[in-house]
Amino acid sequence: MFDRMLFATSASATCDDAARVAFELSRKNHSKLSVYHVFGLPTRGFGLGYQDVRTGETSEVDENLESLVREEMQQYYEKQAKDHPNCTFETATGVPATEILRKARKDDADLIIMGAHTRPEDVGAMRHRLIAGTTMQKVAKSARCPVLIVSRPCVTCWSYFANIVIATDLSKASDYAFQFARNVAKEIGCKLNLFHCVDLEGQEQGQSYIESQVALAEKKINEKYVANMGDFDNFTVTIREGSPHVEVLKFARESKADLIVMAHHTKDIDPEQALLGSTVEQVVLRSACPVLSVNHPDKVDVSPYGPPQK
Amino acid sequence: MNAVELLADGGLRMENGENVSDALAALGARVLLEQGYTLRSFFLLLHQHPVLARLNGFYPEYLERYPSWPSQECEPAGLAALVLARTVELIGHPGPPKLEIYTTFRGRDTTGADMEVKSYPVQTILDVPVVLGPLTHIVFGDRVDELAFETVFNLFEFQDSIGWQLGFHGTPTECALRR
Repeated sequence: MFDRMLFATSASATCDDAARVAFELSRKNHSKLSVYHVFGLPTRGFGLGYQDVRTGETSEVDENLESLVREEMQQYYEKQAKDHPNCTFETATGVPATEILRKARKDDADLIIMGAHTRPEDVGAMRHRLIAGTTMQKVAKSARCPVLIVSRPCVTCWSYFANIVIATDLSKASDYAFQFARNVAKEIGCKLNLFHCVDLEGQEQGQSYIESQVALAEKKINEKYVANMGDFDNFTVTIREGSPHVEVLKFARESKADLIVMAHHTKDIDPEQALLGSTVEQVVLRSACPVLSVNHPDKVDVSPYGPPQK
Repeated sequence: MNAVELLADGGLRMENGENVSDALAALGARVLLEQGYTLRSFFLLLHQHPVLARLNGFYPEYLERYPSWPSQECEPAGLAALVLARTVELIGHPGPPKLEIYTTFRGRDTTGADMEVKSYPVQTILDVPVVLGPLTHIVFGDRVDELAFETVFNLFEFQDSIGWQLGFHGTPTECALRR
């Protein structure tokens, strides 16, 4: 399904949850897995000082340090990398988001896997910091391939997942997310749960307005998605109204979702200009299962199902 | 500062002993917790004062599910208390100077150590005692320089902060089977 995966990691405990998913998923799919760590250079002072994410100490980056970190990474992931012949460990220096994107392009990666944060964040502090502006945000915005964000221990069984939730706002960006989710569901034979929430956040609307919006959404879903299911019949359609991130999370829990697929942003704007939508951000922070962000039409067909995208 | 006592049965009582009928009028009052206050008391409070449930998008769903949850013994081993605390953190080296003030609602284990609780579904921690914690001060991310002070919380902060944390407790308890 995915030939080449890129796991971008700080090689610290913050990425442990993402690591479990990356190794398990790549092993299951017999994919090549690049475990990739970037030394965040240059620093503000344009020096070559690098601050270790684990110890917080500053040191100069040279070949010795790079090889030491590579070795440490191999030791850190020794258990997971065991019996995984297609796993390589690499490091680079530079701006993390730029280097990760460069690496993904160079390797023609089908999937990038990342944690949501570089450092452990307290739930209370997340309210102020969220994830916008981070490496993950920049990678998710510009990557040509889907980006899998793992911010919580994945308690469901990724390798054997049974339910994918595709949360759509009916935008063009969501269409790419839908194509990807449908293809993955068909490829692995699991259920696809199409979900849309009529956004009523902060609004007091009458029942007739809500009903008309729900009917409109139903019509669009039938035209855009149900008509494009082909011979795939293992799907459900659910429409609710309320606050989108609350309803997406609620629906994901009710349907025992193993994976939530969303468009990177939720407005019809140029993908190059789009910041991670607030709904996706709120879902990424709270979701118990991994969230997959799709921002481009590339790589939405998963081999061997469907022709590769040109 | 006016104080409002949160009763274990979910009631609200002002310092002068009067029961509060309009919870909005007490939002700015300092919170005192009655002995035996638990997370279940918090849900009983939301049930008695539904206007408070409008403070967070996740409350209505929790209130809907509450009747189906066990009525007792929802206290996992190893989790001694749920602590509402406040943090003042000085950030900005390198980078522009910034001061953040936020509240946290975390667990305390039986040895008194801090623990993350978001992996517990809400229905499994209903009978864990809720306590008010201190204000901690962190300088430039350096926890060695952490200082702890006594502090107070008003009813709005209490409601809002617990609601924010509970939004992270949607962990599924079982996996589905594939067709």
